[in-house]
Amino acid sequence: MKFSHKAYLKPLAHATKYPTGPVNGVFLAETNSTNLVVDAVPLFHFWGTLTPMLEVAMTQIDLHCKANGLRIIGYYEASERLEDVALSLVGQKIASQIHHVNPEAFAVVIKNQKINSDDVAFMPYQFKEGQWRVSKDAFSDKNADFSFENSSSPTVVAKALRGGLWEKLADFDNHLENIKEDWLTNKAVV
Amino acid sequence: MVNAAKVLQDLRASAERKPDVVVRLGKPLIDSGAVLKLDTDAWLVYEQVAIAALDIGDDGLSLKCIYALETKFPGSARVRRLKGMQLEAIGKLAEAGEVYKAILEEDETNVLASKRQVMLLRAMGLPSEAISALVKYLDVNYTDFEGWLQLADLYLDELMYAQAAFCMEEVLMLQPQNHIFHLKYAEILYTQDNFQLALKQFCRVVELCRDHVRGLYGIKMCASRLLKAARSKDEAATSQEDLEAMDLLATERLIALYGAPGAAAESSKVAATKWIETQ
Repeated sequence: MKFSHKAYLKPLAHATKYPTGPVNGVFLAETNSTNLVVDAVPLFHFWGTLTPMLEVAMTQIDLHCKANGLRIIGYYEASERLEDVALSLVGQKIASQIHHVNPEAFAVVIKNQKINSDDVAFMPYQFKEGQWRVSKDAFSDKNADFSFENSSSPTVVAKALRGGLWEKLADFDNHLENIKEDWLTNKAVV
Repeated sequence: MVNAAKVLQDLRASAERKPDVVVRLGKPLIDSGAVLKLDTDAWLVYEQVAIAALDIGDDGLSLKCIYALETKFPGSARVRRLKGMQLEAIGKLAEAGEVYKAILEEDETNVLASKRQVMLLRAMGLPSEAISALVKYLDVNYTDFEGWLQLADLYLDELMYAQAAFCMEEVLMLQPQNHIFHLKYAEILYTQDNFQLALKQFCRVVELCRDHVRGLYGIKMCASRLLKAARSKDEAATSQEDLEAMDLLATERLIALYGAPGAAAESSKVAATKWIETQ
């Protein structure tokens, strides 16, 4: 999987905006491409273990995808605890549902400690042998499974976040409080 | 000219967590000494800035505030709990625990120390212990709705929905007019597949807060599930006609809200409208 700039920026902006709680969202790819992750849609920053709005969001993202030649290709989350990089139980459930429809689907846990650095802040997981397992050495020469479309993404994104770009990010929780919030495309951030 | 003191006061009243704002406004007041002109409020500001400084990692500022408070109120349990929080912030969890334990040994009813102890256990990655400690606290302080809310969250972290629902019931007995609490209860019930009761709670949300979008979505989700399911033999269950009427009402309101000019971004409007049509 190659991550576009947008697909790296939005999850980190989401985590930066809500440092005191967990956040999650999904990744999108074009319908006909196999491995370019073009975008990310942020979902929630509270009540992440509750289902009704998750169902509404996933259906609306599906409709958005169909209207724009996209499909859901993965899931991301960030833990509220700084050092935690394990894929949460809820995360495993959501990622598994995505994987059920799309066997190439993957999950990413954000490495909170790496957000304000030039290092890669994504910890990817793949579904192998019935379990979600960390993809070792991702984003390095040893593991071609995960990479960046543009190798400067980590540096550029870290700088943008320091400049306060994260304030403009809107997730589905924000949208439900104020439907003006552009959660599906987040044009103000890109 | 922003009246820093007023903004800080408003934030204390609303209990919003905006540490960057608090530090940005409070630090100059404290550094210049102007804070002392606020008389009794000065000490509330010191406490507020101390906590905000911990949130954004400005240990120096936090210690400065705590020192000022210690000087003014020597031996105060309230100040000592701040010291405990500072120790937590720099990762000295065991020492923080000792501070809270000492306060509780002097006064086992000290609410602030009890609460910090619960959250310390959670920070240490001991959720069951945190839950036990909070349950013990609530046995005595059963009218503390914030405590019940926190317990609900601890249960939700462990996916213990039934227990979380029970906690929300306690919260609602104490705070029946708060639509957000009804909303949380409704979503927990939905997650437990209790669509009948969830629907009633979502309706209450919209009753208390007109055109609440999240509540309206909830009504549609429940109504749609109930209409698709087998007809319930329960006499108390909502009738098909009522379900359809509620669904229609929620649909109309959502269409009106999204349809208003400039109400939503194009992509959101398209997706939402299609969702409403196909639900």
